Amino acid sequence: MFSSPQRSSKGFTLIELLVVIAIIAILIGLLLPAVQKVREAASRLKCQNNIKQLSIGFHAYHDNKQALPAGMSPGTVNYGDLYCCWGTWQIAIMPFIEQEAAFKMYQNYGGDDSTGPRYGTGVNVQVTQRRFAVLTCPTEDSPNAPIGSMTSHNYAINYGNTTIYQVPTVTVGGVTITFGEAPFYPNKGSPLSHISDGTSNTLLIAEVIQGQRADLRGFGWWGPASGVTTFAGPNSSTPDVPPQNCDPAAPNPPCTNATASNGSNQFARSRHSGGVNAGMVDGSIRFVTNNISIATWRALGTARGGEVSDAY
Amino acid sequence: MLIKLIKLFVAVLLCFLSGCSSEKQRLPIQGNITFNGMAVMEGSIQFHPLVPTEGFLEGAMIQEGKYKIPAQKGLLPGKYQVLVSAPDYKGKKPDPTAAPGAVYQSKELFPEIYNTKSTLAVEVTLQGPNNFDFHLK
Repeated sequence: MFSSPQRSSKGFTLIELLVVIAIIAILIGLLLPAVQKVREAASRLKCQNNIKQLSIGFHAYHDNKQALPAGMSPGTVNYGDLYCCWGTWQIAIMPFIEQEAAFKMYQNYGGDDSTGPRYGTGVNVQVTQRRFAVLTCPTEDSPNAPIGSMTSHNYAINYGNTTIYQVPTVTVGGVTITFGEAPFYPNKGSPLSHISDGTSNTLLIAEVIQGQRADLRGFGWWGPASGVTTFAGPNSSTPDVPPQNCDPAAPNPPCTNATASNGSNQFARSRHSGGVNAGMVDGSIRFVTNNISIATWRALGTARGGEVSDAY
Repeated sequence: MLIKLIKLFVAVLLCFLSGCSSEKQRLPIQGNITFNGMAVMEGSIQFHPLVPTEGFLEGAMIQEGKYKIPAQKGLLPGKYQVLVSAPDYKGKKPDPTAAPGAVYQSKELFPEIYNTKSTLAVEVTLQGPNNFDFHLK
């Protein structure tokens, strides 16, 4: 009888311990989703910061050369691989994002020839097999190397509102989509004065998801994967239209191989919930939601479309 | 009286839960596609809004004669022009793991009245069921 209060003051019973553990477990359970959200927000921010760095790089390039770089390659001759292989914007921008060494190592940028090294030959693979942090979004689950250890990345430039090769119109019965010019063309870049829609109303860079296995989406060393169009909205269910190697198996986004009536296309996509990060030509960064109307998104894609800009 | 109160309570609660959102409701779309009586094994479909300022362009892959757009990425009610496209490989399916190279563009399998000069039109309605089958010839 006397010993019982003494015993209780000395230690804990098993029940007390279990109750305390249960309470802590509930508290942690409440906290974890919040932590997860903060982590997601942090990686989205990191992703936006990369776009900002690239935008600054593009502006530095523009200061230097009075125009944005060519999207695919500053070529003039079609060697069967239209502007494909001598170095995309990802090479051109290197000296302006503090990767001068990589740019110097790269041979034959803008070669426009049928003999010199391309992105996948010679010393150039030392650049194209490297993974650049500023070109990679931290929400990408599994960075890919689709061929010969050469890397895919997560940012793509804006080729306008029709197809990657910028066909003048896309017609679907009674619906016509007219190419409204773009900040980037496969073989040249615009001067900012060309962008009459206003630099804050024109898309510069958007996110893409890296295709897995041999799928070439996000493989920005290669022309057709170097950019996006605003033909379909952010994270649209409309399949991407790569010119080759479409692999729609999960986790890849949907795709279908290009045809004469459904030309090559790559659309803005991300692993963030609800939208994609996008950079405008003026250097501002936006998170564009999946619910942006297709007309507004296409207006953002054009450089000289003359649309009245909507709030979004 | 009590039932009325409960109804009001539920309505207000639902409103709170949905954030009194004015977000437009996206509707799921699905259906079957055949060409000359056979299921289309591979291809794609796009729904182009006739009033693009208020709509989305959505679409889907056609796999084994079927396509499906989930509600999360669905369409708003309205009229749409439909594009159906599939590559005609002429018996030589390209290697899906090929080295990136010359830009391929296959011939179109379907006649142009189903894509560039599409005569296919649908109206998506709020009450649904929005199942659109296409039997192409």
